[in-house]
Amino acid sequence: MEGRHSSPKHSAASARRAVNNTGVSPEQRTVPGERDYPERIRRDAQVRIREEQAVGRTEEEYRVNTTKEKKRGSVLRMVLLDMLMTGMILVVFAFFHHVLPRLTAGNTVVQPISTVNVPATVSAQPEKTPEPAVTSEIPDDPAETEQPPVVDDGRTEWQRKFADKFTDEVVITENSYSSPNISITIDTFSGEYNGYFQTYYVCDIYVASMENFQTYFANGQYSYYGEQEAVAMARNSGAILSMNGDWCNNQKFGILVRNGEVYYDEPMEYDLCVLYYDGTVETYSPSAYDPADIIASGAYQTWKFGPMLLDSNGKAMTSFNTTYVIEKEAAPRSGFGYYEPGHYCFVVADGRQSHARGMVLTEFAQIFEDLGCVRAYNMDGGASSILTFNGKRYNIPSGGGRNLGEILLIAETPDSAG
Amino acid sequence: MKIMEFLSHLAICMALALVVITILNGFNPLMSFLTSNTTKVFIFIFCAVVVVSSVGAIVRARK
Repeated sequence: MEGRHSSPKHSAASARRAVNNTGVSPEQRTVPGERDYPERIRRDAQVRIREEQAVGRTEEEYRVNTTKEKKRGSVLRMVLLDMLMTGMILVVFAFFHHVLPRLTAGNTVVQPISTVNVPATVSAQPEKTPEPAVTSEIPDDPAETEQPPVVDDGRTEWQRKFADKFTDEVVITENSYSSPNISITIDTFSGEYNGYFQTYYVCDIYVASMENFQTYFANGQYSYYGEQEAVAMARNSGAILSMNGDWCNNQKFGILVRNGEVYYDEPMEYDLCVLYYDGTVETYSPSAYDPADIIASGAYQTWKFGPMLLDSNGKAMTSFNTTYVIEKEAAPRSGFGYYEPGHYCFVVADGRQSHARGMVLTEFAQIFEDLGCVRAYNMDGGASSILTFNGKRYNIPSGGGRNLGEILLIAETPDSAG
Repeated sequence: MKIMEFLSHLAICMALALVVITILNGFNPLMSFLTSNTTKVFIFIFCAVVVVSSVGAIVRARK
């Protein structure tokens, strides 16, 4: 601001015009009012004029160029300031949208509003049949307990149905687990798929009871914005196999039922997936379900990330009820498939890495169709796609993975685990 | 006039921010980028700024 007390730009321009008209050099010319300016400004103006004259520009060209330069600089400064202001607005938005809710509600535990009543027809079937009377007369000699039960073999319907999948004792290998209640086999596919290098994991799951299929919230309780490392969640929950879920902790819409507890029931515009107590799985488009009916029918788990991947005939869908980016982006994926009651699969696809491009939704849906699933549902993906087996990460999550809000898991029930 | 000019720039910036938020929403709609209360307040402020700056521009043009 030094020396700018009486419109120096105007006076300097007048001086240059006077120089141009008279042909007198700047050093020889005395411009009215020029004496009011500091020596530095006068010297700079004279230097600029000499430079312009040296390259053969007229005074008019000099003035036009100078004005353009000033305008260009002004526009550039304005654009930069606008960009800066836009960034600041986004930072403020992120604070109110992400940070503040976490600070204020991060530790608020949300209690279920009700419990799903298990339909009588369901509770009578897949649960274990009552132990035979012999259990109340356990003799001191353990050898006598090996006698076969007289009335019933004590197995659930699914244990009988999938008898060839279960083993009498726990058998664990690098990629499989079997016990009297659970059978898990993980197959890893790594190679070219649809012209791209892909790596994905298919977990074939048989359970003896619905109790072996559970979900687990971060830190063991449902709270807004609660999150925890996937392996820690798997270990804390006793999971043999776990996969990330639908990240239900940071929003409140749709029906949220977990392990038979209803947390909320709100309108939703996304596809819904329901695992019922009887072991069946159904996927619904937003307009095709009645929340009250779903809860009354014995919903055991619900998921609402979506979309559904197979149509009612078990064929891979080609258009999905989701955003363009989620549908078209080649990304890490996690999905849940259903064959029949007691028989399910988890599929996790790596992505955004050299060993795996990631999948678009049509490719991911095709996997479930090829597996023979009749229902399939997409879960949260990207860095959230994490599969754990026996307390360790099994896949290679994008970017090292992230903390999760909840997991789907296969675990021994407390009475069978001990 | 300075205030009107600032509001015009603010409207541009808020519009750009809304574009960014909409793109983010496409990546993960369950993050509620477009449906949260924060976004509703943001859109309300944006509308107010646009109305004021537009009315100001019309008034200036008529003078």
